[in-house]
Amino acid sequence: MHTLFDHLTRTEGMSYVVVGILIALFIPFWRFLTSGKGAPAASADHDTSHHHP
Amino acid sequence: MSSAEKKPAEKKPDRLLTPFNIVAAIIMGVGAVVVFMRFYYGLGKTTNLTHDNPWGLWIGFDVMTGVALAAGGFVTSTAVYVFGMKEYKPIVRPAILTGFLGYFLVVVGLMADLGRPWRLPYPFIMQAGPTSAMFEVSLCVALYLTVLFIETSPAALEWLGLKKARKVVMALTVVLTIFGLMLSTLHQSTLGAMFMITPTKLHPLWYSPHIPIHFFTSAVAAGLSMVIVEGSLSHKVFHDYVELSTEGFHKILIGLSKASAVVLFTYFGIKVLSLAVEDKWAYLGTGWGAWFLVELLGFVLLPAFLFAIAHREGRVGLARISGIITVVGIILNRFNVSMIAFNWQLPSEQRYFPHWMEIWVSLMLVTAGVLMFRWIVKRMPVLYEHPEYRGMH
Repeated sequence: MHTLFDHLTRTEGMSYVVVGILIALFIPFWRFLTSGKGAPAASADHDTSHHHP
Repeated sequence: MSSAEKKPAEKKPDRLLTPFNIVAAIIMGVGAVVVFMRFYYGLGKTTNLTHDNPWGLWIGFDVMTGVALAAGGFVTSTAVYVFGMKEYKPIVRPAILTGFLGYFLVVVGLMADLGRPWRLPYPFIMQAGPTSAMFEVSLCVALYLTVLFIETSPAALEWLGLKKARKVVMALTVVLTIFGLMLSTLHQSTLGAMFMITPTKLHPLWYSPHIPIHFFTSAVAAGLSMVIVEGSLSHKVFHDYVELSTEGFHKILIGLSKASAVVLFTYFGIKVLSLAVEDKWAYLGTGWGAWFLVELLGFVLLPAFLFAIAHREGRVGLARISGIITVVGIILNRFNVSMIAFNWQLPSEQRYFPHWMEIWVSLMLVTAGVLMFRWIVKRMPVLYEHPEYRGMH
């Protein structure tokens, strides 16, 4: 009986494992990136009292 | 006194004999002699290029690295004009100017490498090779340099008081941005694709059928980091010309840190996935593998985490350090691909190391870029809004 794994080379199998690990690692990375004490959202406040011509 | 009369350049005339100007004059003067020698005596006298190593520093640094570091223009203009992230608008003009000067110097550097500059238009009119990667790079760089020139021109037109011309150019902003994004996507990746014909010369850890994706993704990271580094330097050096408050600029840097962290992590993932798909794990155990890991862990993954911390904790200094590490990492990557890991199997006496004159010409191009940037931002409304056009962008 053939299974899905019979059509999968070692390299392909390893690639799927690596993709899984990378996606799994990105989730905590994203949470780490966005769950801080609150990095201010970028905004371009123009301080007109500052030096400018 | 009208606001136009209060231009800083008129308020405080620049001193000519500063240490920077003297060093720059020496670099440019010696560089001019070297360039003359290159065109008079040829590549043999002024470079260490050989038939084994026909591409050296002028391609590896001036073109490969220069184009990647000039990606900040299309990244920021796309963010603002296509994705509507208006909060980054104050950094678009300096980023586009940096991009324009970068691409201009890429072309100048390429002329030194290729020789016979009058043949620069030949790819478009004299040969039937429109399927070559090099043709695509030529076409895209020529078109994108034109796009960047038009995108840079509003600052010059405001400075010159040409209101009608400025209005026409401003109406084209979105079209030019989309065109620039398309051209950048094409040629940033195709610069990598040019190495796809070198599977026997480029070390397997850097050679990949996916190298166009590597080049494009890393160029986005390079562009973002260059905006952080160049913006920080401009904010410090041209403080009197900068309109954006320090606090506002810091918020922009922290926002760019988040984007840089995500792009670098994505780039890291793509590189690791290439190792898996191409089954190149075994090479990691070699000396070349150690060097590859230095690049990947030290100059991609490390700055990704540092950018993440910078964004998370609002640490502007760390964002700047991460930007510098990333810029160095991109330079290292392009050097690895085009020179260090190229012809890796040749005996050491046949390996390429640039001649001092090659290094000097590259140094001259960087200096020329800095001088042109300084000349422009001290005269044209790049780091500030022209009073007559305030809020009209």
